[in-house]
Amino acid sequence: MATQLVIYVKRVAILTLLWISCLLLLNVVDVPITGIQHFITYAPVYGVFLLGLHAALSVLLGVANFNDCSDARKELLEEIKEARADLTKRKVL
Amino acid sequence: STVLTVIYRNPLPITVMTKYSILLPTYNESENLPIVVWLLEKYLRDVEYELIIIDDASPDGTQDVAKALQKEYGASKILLKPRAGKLGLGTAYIHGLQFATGEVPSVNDEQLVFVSFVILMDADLSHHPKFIPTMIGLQQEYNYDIVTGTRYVGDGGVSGWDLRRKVISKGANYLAQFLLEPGVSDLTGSFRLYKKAVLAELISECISKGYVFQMEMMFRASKKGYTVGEVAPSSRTPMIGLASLLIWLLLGPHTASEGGNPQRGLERYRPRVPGHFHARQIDRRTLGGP
Repeated sequence: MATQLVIYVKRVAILTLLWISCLLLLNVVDVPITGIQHFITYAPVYGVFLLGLHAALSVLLGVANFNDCSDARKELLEEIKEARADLTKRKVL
Repeated sequence: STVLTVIYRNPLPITVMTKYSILLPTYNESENLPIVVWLLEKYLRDVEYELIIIDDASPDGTQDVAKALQKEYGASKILLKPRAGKLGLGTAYIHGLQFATGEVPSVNDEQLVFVSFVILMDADLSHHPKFIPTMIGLQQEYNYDIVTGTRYVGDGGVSGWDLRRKVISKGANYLAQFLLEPGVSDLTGSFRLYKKAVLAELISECISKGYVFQMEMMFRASKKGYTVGEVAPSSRTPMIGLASLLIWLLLGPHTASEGGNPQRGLERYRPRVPGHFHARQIDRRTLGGP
């Protein structure tokens, strides 16, 4: 069983290799479209930025969607009352 | 040497005997403990279960309350296994597990198969016993090794948390999901049902003893390829997950699924057990074994 660290190192290594090969390719092939060169050169920076954006958005959405179970709370409070009454009758409380 | 494989034909029908041991660590829960016991008795009337109360020498008289409850409900139903001091959650489960009476899987002469389960829950009423029948139903339907409750799917959630606590909870969960990839939506939740043998194996390998313990247990289970099911209250108001939001933005509202994010390869189903819950199936076997 590979550890989680090994799994991550593999992924980063593959991405790094891809990036380096793209950089090398840029030296050989003349890309006519402007912007592509810039994008490939700074791809890791964009990657990290997108990752951060995903993290921030996920947490924000998660917090906004976090259920406040007020109905469940009400239901539970009712049941607590019922339980107290029953347990008092049985002389447990 | 030769390996012999013997195939038995069963002349008698096999009866499966299940037993559920609930481990309940307590510290200063004299108020909540009787309510928990009462609710368990209300919702688990048809279930063969025992409750093991592990009290860490609470100064508020939790143990006296526990004794009174034991007297009322019987010593075979409520087991008191206190400890001398506040020794932590992880070790409380290890301590309690030794006293779980359910037998490990075996077939005896009368064709009875014994299967035992252990349920971990908190005594502070954050885990409602009404979900246990749903957990049991889901386990039986798919023969899961573990069934876990979740706060992050459907109507699962919290009550009375402020914004800061929600942000910390979600942030920590995001980080854990990203780094550990457990395939389970609520890593730190502590409302879980385990096959007894699986719990014993995982617990013996766990290093952490405190709050992280639940996370480590689920991570190890997931990496070992144990099957995990999730149970959450059903959703009446659809949740907007990040994935479904993106799909919704790209393809229009008709693709947004009712009640949660459309997870890859995850089936949804409603258990046969009556109640207002849905459950989510995450079959680790399809994702590759250990």
